[in-house]
Amino acid sequence: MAGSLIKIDEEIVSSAVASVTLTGIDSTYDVYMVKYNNVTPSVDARSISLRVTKSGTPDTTSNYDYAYKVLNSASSFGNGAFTNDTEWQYLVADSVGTGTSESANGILYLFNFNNASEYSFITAEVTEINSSATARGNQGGGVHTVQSSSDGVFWFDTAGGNIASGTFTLYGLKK
Amino acid sequence: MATNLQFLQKVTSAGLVSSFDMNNIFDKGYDQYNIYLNLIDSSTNGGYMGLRFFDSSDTIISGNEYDWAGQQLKSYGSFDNTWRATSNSQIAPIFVSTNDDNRGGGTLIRVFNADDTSSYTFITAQSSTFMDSGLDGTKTIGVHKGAEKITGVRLVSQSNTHSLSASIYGVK
Repeated sequence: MAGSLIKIDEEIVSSAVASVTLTGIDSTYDVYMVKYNNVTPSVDARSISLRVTKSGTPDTTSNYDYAYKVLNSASSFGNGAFTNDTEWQYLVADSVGTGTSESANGILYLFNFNNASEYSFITAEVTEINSSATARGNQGGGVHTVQSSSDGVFWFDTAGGNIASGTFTLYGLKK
Repeated sequence: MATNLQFLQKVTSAGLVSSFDMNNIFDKGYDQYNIYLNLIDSSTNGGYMGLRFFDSSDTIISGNEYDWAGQQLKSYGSFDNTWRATSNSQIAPIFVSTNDDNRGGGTLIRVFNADDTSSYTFITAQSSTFMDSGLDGTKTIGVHKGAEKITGVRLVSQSNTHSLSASIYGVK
């Protein structure tokens, strides 16, 4: 018997790729969840960014707002706040390194993605070892400020590097 | 048939305890586990709770192998941004400022990579509790900096005792 958390798409990266796309968001569910673990960039101290997809294509317009609290085990906490960016750049994996066991892990919740009359919202809970080999994690959320439906999320290194590893899984929450 | 959010087991403390052990709750084939923790009561007001892991031999890991950082949110005052440490003997806070009048509270702990022998084990935790002053909450991240399999969790009360129950789920 199926439960209430339904796996829709999964990408497992074991050799470097330029990007990862999770697709399959439609009207079946109102809320979606993304789980990711052991995500690492190919280049040290890079952030993995996120865009929404429209009909499978990443939206590159300047319509991404996001804000987060930076929890840092080794220094004072910080804040991040951005409006009209071209992606959610630091929200989900921030300055992750290529050193041993340096990686990003987290949970995203996606709200209103399939609603063509509303913006697409995400929340993020992140825990990582960064390029300084210390624990940190951004806690916050973002919004794509366009009233249109989004059908997936696209992961990439804004600075042009690759994603070296990680498991990315998209779920729907049964309604 | 296992589902993508699979209930694994429930663990309940024997009344008020200073350590709450959840042994052998991992190593079930999931790359992420959720622990939904119900705080039932506390012996005194205040205090906080930390977390340690059990290794693959079911031995508690109490060395200085944990990094963590947490924000304490308060309905009654300024937030506390000073909870952080590197190379520490536990991850904290899992929750803070509990109440001895049976008012309860709750925490969600997410554990990543516990079954993985070649990765560190990471957590996020968020809580909501109530003290006489008002509502308290925490948002915490942490990591055990050892590439080894983790099989369980010990929650350690710092200055009082707690009665708790936990429901553990695997996410696949």
